[in-house]
Amino acid sequence: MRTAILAGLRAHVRRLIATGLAVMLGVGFVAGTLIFGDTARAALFDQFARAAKHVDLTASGRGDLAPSVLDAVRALPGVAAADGRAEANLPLLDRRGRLVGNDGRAGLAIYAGTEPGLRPYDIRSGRAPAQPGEAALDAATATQTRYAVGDTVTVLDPAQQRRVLTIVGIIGFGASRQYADRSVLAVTMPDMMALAGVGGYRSVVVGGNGDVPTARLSADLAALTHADVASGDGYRRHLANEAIQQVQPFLTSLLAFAVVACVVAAFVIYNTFNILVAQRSREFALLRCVGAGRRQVVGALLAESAAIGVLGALGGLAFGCGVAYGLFRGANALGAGVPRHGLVFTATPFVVAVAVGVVVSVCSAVVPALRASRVAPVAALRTATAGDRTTRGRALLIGAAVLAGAAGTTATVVGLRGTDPQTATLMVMAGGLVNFLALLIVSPLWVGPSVSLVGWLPGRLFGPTARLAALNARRNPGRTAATTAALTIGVGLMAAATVLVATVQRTATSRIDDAYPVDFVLAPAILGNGQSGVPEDVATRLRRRAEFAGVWRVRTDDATLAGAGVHVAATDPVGPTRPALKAGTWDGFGPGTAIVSSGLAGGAATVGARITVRGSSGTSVTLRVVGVSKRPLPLGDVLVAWADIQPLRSGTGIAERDDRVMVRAADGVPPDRSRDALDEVLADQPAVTVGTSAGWRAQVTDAVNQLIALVAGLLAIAVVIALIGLVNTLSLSVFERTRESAIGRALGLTRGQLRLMLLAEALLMAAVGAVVGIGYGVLYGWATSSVIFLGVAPLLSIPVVNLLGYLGVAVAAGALAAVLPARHAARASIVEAMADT
Amino acid sequence: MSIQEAVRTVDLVKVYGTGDTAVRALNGVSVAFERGRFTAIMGPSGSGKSTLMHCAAGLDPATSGTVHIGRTQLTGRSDRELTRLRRDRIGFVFQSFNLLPALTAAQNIRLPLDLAGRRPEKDWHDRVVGTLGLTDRLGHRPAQLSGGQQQRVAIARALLTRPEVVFADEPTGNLDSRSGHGLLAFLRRSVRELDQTVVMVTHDPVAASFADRVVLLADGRLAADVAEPRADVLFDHLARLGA
Repeated sequence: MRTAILAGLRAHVRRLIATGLAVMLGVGFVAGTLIFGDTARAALFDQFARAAKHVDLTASGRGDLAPSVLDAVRALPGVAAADGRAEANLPLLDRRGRLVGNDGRAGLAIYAGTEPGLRPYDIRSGRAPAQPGEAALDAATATQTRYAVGDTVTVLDPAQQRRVLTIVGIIGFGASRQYADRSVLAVTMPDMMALAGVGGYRSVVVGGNGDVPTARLSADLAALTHADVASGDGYRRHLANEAIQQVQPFLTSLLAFAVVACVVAAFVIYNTFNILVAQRSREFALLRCVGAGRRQVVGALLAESAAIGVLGALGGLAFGCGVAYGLFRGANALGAGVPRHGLVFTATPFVVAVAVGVVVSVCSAVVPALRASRVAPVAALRTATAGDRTTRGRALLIGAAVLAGAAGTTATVVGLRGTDPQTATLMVMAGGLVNFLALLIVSPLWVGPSVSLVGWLPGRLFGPTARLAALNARRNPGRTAATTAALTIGVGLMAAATVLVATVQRTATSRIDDAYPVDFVLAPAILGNGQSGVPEDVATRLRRRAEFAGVWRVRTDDATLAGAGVHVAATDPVGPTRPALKAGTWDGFGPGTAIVSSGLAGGAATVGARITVRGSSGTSVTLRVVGVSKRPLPLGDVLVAWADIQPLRSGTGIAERDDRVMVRAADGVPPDRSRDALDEVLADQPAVTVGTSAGWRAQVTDAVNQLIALVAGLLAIAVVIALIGLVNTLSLSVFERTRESAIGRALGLTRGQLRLMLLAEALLMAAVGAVVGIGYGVLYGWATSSVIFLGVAPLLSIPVVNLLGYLGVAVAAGALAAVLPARHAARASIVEAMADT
Repeated sequence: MSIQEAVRTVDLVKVYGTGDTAVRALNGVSVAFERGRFTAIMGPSGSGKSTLMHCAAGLDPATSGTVHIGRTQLTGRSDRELTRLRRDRIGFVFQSFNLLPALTAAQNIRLPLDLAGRRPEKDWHDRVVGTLGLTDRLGHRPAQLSGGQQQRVAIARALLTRPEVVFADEPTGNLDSRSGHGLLAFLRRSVRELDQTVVMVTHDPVAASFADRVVLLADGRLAADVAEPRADVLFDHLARLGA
């Protein structure tokens, strides 16, 4: 039997190339992701090993360690060098006097240290600060603010007073994303205490001189500092793991895409084996005639598929290296900040790749192999005729599909009616998966009619050639179905992801518009010192300016209502808009009343209900509901009068501060002028940030477009595999129809018409696969997004241009897939082709 | 060249392969097939009868010599011109796998006209289909037809374009003798009643005896030319040729 297997492989090498290629691409994606993960981990470890290479021990206190402790540590026997670590918020202002930092978060100060070998940073230029009043600034912030060595910078101390420091150096943190998007100033310990308000070191790091065993030194250190002592390796691992946490979600989603690629590859393999089994049925019958058992036939085919799996997996490993390299470039382009590092090969990707390759291809070959074993020995003596599926088999298929469809639809509907977003999303996704399965099971039944439907127009336009193509595509519905299914999966997921992301965008921008139908929103920077809020007089001063038509102060409180957390908000004056109400009116809104979101639980969302809200201050207020909003209220679940919010709030100085101030410019005032006026008012308020809804919308749109591009790029590999399957199916069909094409040619089909026929066949299959995929993707993209964001009433968005783009790409790629098989078919000599059996 | 000749070959030579492995399948064959007659090409295996048909029908280019279909010379024409010529002026009937399985009998019959973008003449279509006894079989697919019925569909397809000549390559090769004889009778009726020209390749003397004239080939050369043949005479000829 082994001779037969080897001979089979050799004879069909060309026909199996595409199968191997599909395995290779799928496995390559998996292997590439794993290699990338290993390499990223190694790179991050290396980086932190270098950054903390002289650290042998660290002692971290549960509270701050007094500065005097450091001298005592230095005096311990066996200590070569020791230094402290400290970190605190320290808002930095830019040259215009505004706060530096994204997302309204304040900058940081770190202790610069006195031991060069133990510094947690490296010096890019200048030197480390040596005395109070000096500071070193991180390179990213230096580039952004154009501060350089020799400049003086302004920072805000805990009392919000301006203090001045001189930049003496520019520093970097290597691969660490610890301080990403924040400004970092390294200063001396006296400045840490004076400017950033720290009381001592957060931890002490120690480098040993080798005189004393590390274990004893560790014990001494623990006794002296009463702190947790960890080894330098543990410290480095801790740092690296923290950095890896940043990369992990990316790796996880990559693996998910890799799994999709493997599923699509499985379809391609299944299809190829099915076609090969059909073509070789006489060969199997002959084997059975000469005494091969059913098991031997199954075994031979499975061995063949395993061989392809191994070869494809080895190719996939090579391809995976390319993928890993590409991921590095891609990940760093997205700002993952993985340091340069040679590719790392551990056993894991190797083992996983071979295992995935073999499992995927053997599993996909099981059904075809069983089918091959059912070929009767007597078939060898008959002229092979393509048998139709039996009615019983068809009834079984329909039955299975109806069951699966019922289960999937039930899960979907139950999910859509659910109230808990997480379980609802799981239900809908599971329902989508099961329904897709049902769709696949019966696809041999609907794929033919769909091809006719899609083929109607080309049939009109291109006459008999296109009609023949449509007939050919319908001829073996099972084959066409499996070919298109591979494409459907890829395109469907792309469409679903696109709808989901576009819905997020539309919902988010609409929420921005709902919540802030104004030109500017002032919010306090998060300084981390308990002080929060916009000073009351900012609104007062803004109201005096003619440039502004409306100024609304917003105060909120995280209160409780009947034991559940509820967000209470009030504006002064009421506005800027009055959300549409489902019940009640705005007329009665005033002190002692509330407007509530419709989603509010426990019968609170009824006009006339009396609700008791307990604020964060502990004070309770009883309110009468006078209105229920249609959509979730933008600022909070419960809107109360200005007078009623005050008693609910607690916190240092909170009472006199606004959480936000919304500003609308007067008609006819250009944006530049209103912005200048705003900056004038805020000149003495560096810690108040200014947001514009236009800016937020742009941010959301940018992020969404990036996400769509990323998802489309990652799923493209699944589509490529599906197209290889299309090429494969067409090639095998062309091979199978050699005689038929020759007859056609003899009867007057020109080479061009023959090529056109195959092209049309490929286009029809690609179009059906893409159309079904897009339809399914839109449906479930919508269903999923409506439950994921259950709480925020998502607004469905169908990005028609993107979806048409996917259709166009799929159809164009289908045309590309037809090129080789069509050339092959058209080149064949008529006489030779007719002699072929 | 007389207008009465549908096909004429002059000094036709066909060599397969090169050097030591070269095989001379045709070695200077000059023959003419008259219009409105049923001619059979006979010969033992390897005599070159199929090659003669392939070259005469423009399916395979000859190594040297000329082929005319009517007044048109085939030699040196492009694939596109040959394809058009086959489509418009030649009909084919093959041994097996003759019909496109995806099409019905009616669609198969109309295929060459469809490919050419022409409409069938209703009267002619009905006459051909009637002569071949296919009227009630038109909606069937090939798989639903018997072997003899399939070959009749193939003949109808060949005749529908009113070709100058129909080449039939062992049309009874895959049929039992009863359906074979029935088919040959249909073929002869088509020649007589529809005034068509048929050239049939066969190795079977009984099949050849249905023809008006038999051309015998041996070793790539013309060996005999028999008019109004009887099967026993053809058996004698074949025996002498060592088949």
